Amino acid sequence: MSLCTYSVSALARLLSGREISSYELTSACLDVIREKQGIYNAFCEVSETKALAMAAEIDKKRLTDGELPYLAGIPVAVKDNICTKGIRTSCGSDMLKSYIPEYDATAVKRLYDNGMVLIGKTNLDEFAMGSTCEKSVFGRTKNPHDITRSSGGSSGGSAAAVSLGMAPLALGSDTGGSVRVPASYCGVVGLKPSYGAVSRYGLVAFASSLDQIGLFGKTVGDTRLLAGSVYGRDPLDGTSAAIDPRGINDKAAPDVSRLRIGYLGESLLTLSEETLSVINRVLDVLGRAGAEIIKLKSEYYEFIPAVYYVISSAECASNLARYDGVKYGLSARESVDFNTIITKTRIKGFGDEVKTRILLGNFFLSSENYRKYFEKACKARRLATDEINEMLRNADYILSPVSDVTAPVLNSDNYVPRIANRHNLIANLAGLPAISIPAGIGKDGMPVGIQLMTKRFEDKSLLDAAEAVELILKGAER
Amino acid sequence: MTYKAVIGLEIHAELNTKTKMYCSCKNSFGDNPNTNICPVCTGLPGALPVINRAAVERAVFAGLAFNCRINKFTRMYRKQYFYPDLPKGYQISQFDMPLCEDGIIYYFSGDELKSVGIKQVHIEEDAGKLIHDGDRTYIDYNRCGVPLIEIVTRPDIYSADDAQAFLETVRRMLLFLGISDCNMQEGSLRCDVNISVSDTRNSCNSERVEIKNLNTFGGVRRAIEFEIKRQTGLLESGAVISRETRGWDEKRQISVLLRSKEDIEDYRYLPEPDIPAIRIDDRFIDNLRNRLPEFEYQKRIRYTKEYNLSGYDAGLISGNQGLAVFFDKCAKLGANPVECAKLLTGEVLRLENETGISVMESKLKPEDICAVLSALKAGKINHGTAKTITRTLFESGGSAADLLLSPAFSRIDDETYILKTAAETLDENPGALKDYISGKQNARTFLIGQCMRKTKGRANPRVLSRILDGELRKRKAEKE
Repeated sequence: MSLCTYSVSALARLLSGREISSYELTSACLDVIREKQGIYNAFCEVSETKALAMAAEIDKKRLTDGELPYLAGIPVAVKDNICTKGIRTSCGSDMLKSYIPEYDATAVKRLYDNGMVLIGKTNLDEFAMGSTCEKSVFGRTKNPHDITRSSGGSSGGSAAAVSLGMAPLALGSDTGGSVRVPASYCGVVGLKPSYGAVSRYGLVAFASSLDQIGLFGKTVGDTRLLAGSVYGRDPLDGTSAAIDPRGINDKAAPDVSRLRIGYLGESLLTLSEETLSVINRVLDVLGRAGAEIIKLKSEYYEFIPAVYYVISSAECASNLARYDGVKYGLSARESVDFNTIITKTRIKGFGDEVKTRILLGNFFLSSENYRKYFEKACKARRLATDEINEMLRNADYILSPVSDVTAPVLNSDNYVPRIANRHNLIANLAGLPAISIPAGIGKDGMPVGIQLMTKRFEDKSLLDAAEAVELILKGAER
Repeated sequence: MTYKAVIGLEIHAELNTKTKMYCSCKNSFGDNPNTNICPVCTGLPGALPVINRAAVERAVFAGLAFNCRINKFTRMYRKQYFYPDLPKGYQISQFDMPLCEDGIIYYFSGDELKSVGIKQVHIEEDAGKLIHDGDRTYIDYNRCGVPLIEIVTRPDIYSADDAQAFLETVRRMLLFLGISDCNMQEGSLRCDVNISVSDTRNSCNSERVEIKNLNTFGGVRRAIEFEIKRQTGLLESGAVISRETRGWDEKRQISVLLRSKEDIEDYRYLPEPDIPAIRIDDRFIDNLRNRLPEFEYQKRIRYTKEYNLSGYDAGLISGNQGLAVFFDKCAKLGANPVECAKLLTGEVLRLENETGISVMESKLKPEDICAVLSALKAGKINHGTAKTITRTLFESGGSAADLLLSPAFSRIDDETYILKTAAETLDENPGALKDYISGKQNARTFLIGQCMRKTKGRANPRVLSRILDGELRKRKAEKE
């Protein structure tokens, strides 16, 4: 059995007992990458030499310094929209195809501080805009369970890398489901922390009020170990919050029979057969274990995609204004005047999906439309946030689908992520923590994830519940 | 008068914080290009702004000085436009919830107290600087992210004179508050002018014309004067004035069109998601309010009312922060305010200008001025000596009491000495003597002055007058 299939806690034990070295573990992951990268295309860049050097360094430190952080020596993959000093951060875009950051994102810095080994940068939809990981300048990332299907997106590379055993853990980013959707499609755990729980400093912005760095692991247990190393307030991010990262790892698996789990009736209406049967089974298992299942009703559910698209496009248009060909990245520098440089650069540098959102965003923000669209969307966001927070007084957790469907086939025409994945948007709009955990296999043989969410900054409680649900579902399988 | 100009100003002042508005880079002028920069102020992908509380504090301080309401809940906005010196593609500024709103600034234009409404004071960041060299353009990002306040007035100004007097007052206020260097050469104080001239005979109002980026008071005055003439001319020829943005060409002394109405930019304001809303509590405001100094116009009114100073003297003293503090100290020590003001606005102000040293930095002490003034009043010294002593103390220090005792400054009452001086003076000025004898009275005044010069102003004037008259009578009799 390859080392890559071990749980993170097992690997940490082996490393600290010096039964394996980080160099061996990192080499094992690189072997898997070498074997499978050509097929699945999970990485934009594998930093093999740097990773091995880092691993050797950690091994040496372990000999000389003795006690190291818990995750020291564990390889980790990082989505290619999170800045890594000296390692290209392309955002899957022509615009930044040769951009090498001069600083590390805070989350990356914390991985390093914990002695973790950065193994490579994972593929994504351009600037994290997409749900299929098909819109990258580096090509598509294919689904580990079926290469004719999408890995989901936008963090498809990270989800596939963890699923394939290329790295035990990975960072992604989630603006409207970009961690949870690929986690669900690839059969791994994907956590979108509370807004502010993980510093966004160094995460290349898509929609700043919705963006959150997310975490991937094979299990809830693995994922929460990673959370312990990247959570916490960062003075460089004014929107980051003071969550004590150490508390995250104090497991307290709750008694399922005492949980109140709500679900929205509206969220089950459009599910595919595969997904619906898995969700129904989960509700059934939880009900039989004694959990109180509460059916909730939302007034705003159907408006949420519109609200999300207005706000995310507006912020996207603004955040992507900086790519003007003047300072870094692609530049039509052969042109003589600024207007030509910027126009040519942006026409060539951005893909169609990105351009569409920039155009939409500027349309919503124009002085004649601001009130009509943007301001209205902000009000609706407030209302929907109030509503879900109210629901979370009566239910401890809300359970929902991640996607109406299982992973779509590549190039699918009838896959409409705006509708299929709308269940994810409220967590971003309201800043709630949400987690996607594997809940079964559909009739099509593809994994189906379910989502749990709870109150903002109750990330630890969410992980506790997710771990309990994961356990009870595993028991029910047997 | 059939045409009337209405003027509003947008004043940008760089705040003198140690670090920039949203990052920890040094806020400093004149360093080598691109040495005070970081991922945040150059807008690298992924970098985030964090607001500088010291800048917020200075802006609130200014708002309080301008009698504004301070909004306790305010937020930042992105003002979006593309320009090579603007690395993020937007400027982080404020929009519909500025930090300070609805204030008023009082100022004197000549001897008249006037006021200008302040629509708002908000915080924002400066952009970089383009350096053109032949057909190449370089960008210096050092100024990117330097904190600014923008002071937006209501259209309450009606002439170039008033605009200049107002701007000068605002500059002195900001300096007095200690929140900006207001150095116009370094661009730390700049001004946009909105001006519209309309025909008072018909109700149809002209649209406003904006003149951008004026950075001298003279430029503001000349641009306004030019624009009033230009717009009046247009109206007289029957044209309609529509909204446009113009620039001031200092070389040619004309304003030139930058953007007409159709091209005026849509800034697509977006609430800044990277910076949480700013909350300001009462204690923060009260602390700043308690630190507010007395302002120029208040001082000027107090000086004329309490101390009977002339408007001219009160204006000069109140407009000079150091001099005002010095004057108040002298008055407190019991100096005669009117005499004191004369000495300060005469000799002391001249010394300040000559030496470039302010009275507060000089070696002159308020106690000295009091001593000089009382010696003057007692007739122990004359005005000339008072000035000389003041100058000596200003430049070299020491104590006025000592100087007044020193023989070099004391009054000469010795009649033999004065008689000798008078006789010498008449011998040396036969022409004037002849004039006097032939009945020209002003020849006497001249001769008195000459005697004073000989004694370095120290002769007792009454004694001198008596003795000189005696001597003149004697000479006249001899002649006859």
